[in-house]
Amino acid sequence: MEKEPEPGGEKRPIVEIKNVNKFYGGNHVVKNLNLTIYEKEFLSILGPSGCGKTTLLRLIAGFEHHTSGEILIEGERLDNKEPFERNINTVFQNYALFPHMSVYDNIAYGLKMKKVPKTQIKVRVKQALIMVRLEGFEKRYPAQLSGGQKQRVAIARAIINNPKVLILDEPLSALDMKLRKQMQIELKSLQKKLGITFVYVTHDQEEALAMSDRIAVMNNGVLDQCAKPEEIYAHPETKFIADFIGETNLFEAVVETEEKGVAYLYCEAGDLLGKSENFDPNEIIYVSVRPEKILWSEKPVEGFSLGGIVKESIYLGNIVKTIITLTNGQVVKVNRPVDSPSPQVGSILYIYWELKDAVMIYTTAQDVFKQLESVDLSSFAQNSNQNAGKESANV
Amino acid sequence: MKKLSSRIFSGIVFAFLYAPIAIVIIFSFNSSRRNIVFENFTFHWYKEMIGNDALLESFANTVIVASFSTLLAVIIGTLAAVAMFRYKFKGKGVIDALLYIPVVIPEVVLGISLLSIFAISNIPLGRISLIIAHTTFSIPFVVFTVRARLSGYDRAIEEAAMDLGANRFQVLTGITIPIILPGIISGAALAFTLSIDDFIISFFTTGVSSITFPLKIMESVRSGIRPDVYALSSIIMLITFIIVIISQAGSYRSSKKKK
Ligand SMILES: Nc1ncnc2c1ncn2[C@@H]1O[C@H](COP(=O)(O)OP(=O)(O)OP(=O)(O)O)[C@@H](O)[C@H]1O
Ligand SMILES: [Mg+2]
Repeated sequence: MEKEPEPGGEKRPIVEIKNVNKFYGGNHVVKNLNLTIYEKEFLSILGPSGCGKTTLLRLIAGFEHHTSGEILIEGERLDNKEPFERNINTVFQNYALFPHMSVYDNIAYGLKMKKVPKTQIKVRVKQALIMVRLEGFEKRYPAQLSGGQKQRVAIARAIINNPKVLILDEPLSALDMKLRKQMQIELKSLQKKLGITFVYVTHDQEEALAMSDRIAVMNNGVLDQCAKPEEIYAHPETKFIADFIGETNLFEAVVETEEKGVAYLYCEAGDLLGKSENFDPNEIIYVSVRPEKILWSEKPVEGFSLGGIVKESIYLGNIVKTIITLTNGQVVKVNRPVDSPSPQVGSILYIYWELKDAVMIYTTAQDVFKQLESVDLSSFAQNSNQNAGKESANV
Repeated sequence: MKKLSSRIFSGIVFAFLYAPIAIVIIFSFNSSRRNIVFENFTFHWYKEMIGNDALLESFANTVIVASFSTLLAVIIGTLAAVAMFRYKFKGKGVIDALLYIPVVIPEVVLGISLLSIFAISNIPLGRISLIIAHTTFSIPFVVFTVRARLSGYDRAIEEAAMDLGANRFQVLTGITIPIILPGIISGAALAFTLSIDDFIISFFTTGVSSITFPLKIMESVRSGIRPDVYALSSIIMLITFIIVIISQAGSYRSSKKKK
């Protein structure tokens, strides 16, 4: 979990988060989190609702103070600096435009606060408006804009200060599908053009896969894995990620033996094979196989004995999804392009897969964490309770 | 048909509301001293009013008391509304409920309690005691109007301002106050008008030297109302009317922005 592949050797770290914990009262929201964010990268933070994404962003932006650990920005500790003293700008989850100011004044606000001369403000606001394609909207008020337009004003307002890091908290969640796709492309090209770091929060995994240089997956306050999108998809490190990123079939299995790179396993529904990764005998692991990688035959294949019945087949435009129920009741999904054969509904068959398509997931990492959680944290929480109390008093 | 009947109906309502006011204005221009028949049009009573020192002094008292109590109520009420919106603290619900009491309590009771407080704490009855009393009953109204404005106010807006480099003071003056300003203005208008026409509480808490206009009128009722009182009443109505228009225009402008 500690290892973080560096994208390109020469990149400089810009934000370093080290062993950071955050408590809200007794509620442990960010758990011992380590993450390094590099210059000019597009990093997505992905995770289900309530896992602590916004909290992590608020720690980086300075709206919230972490309970323990440290956060470095360009190598400098910023623990005690106010939000307005950091070279970071934020696009908020609900835009947070100033309702009593025109689009022009909204965008100019950051420069006014920095006491930039008026003539220069004019030029830079104009540039920002062109960049987000909102020329001619200067005089409108936020209430007179569509969701997508508000979004662009929020972005223009944040980038006009030339921040080193732009934080975006689910900026597209309020938009419809089509506008969303369009804004995704615009945001990505904007990031390239500006050459600044984007820290982008989303709970839409497709969005994260499409836009990011790296994805950090959070689950329940823990950073499970941070890697390139392909890496995350092909080699999820935890059961949670395998399940959360894309669709998959998970088999909880017990290791019998290992031989010549092949792991012989069994689960409730029967025998299966996986890649050998020096497991202990009788160790419980998960095998994750993507729906498009599941194969089938009428007779059991050597090493596999996962029999099932084809329950239904669903047409999804470009693919057909077939649902197979195994003998123990477990449901297996199989995806195939429309023009290639899919299993017949009602037929009885055996599923298998090629070894290279089986992703082996250890269960130990998670178990260790569960134990950690139940042991030392209560006393820790009490200490931090007092801190948290102080904090909320002076918000 | 429907249109006609609704017009007639609203005509009756308006007549009901405004006829008494119209009569006061009309009789302020009446040359007859008795207000039963209208004789001739005259500005006489307005001249008379300017010469009536006691009347003018009571009016000045009223304006001074209303101005100071409004100012105090706006400051205290706005701070209270913002604090109650922003912070969670013990007893918040109780304070919330207690705010309604000065509004619903019979004014006589409030007047007597204020009087006894002034007596206990040796505050002499006069302008100061009047200002304190009027501030007391005005505060809840300011809290209500400001709080109505704050509902739906997103704290993230303040964070966004800080994110863009504003310090706490700049956030307050440039973001928070302008956004709640319409609420403050209508609260102030309400407090001012309530103070101007308050009779009962003023009756209990004023001294000889600080008679207000409503008290003066009541006093003169016994000896028969002179038309110069009508004249001053008309002017006060005009002022009230202007205040209402200003505050309405303010809320209209901001609601247009919001839409
Ligand atoms: N100010 C706060 N006080 C107490 N608890 C909080 C506070 N803010 C957030 N939490 C809790 O912290 C946890 C993480 O919240 P957070 O807002 O970071 O989630 P998120 O990952 O951003 O979710 P979403 O995708 O829904 O925005 C939640 O359980 C939430 O209830
Ligand atoms: Mg969030």
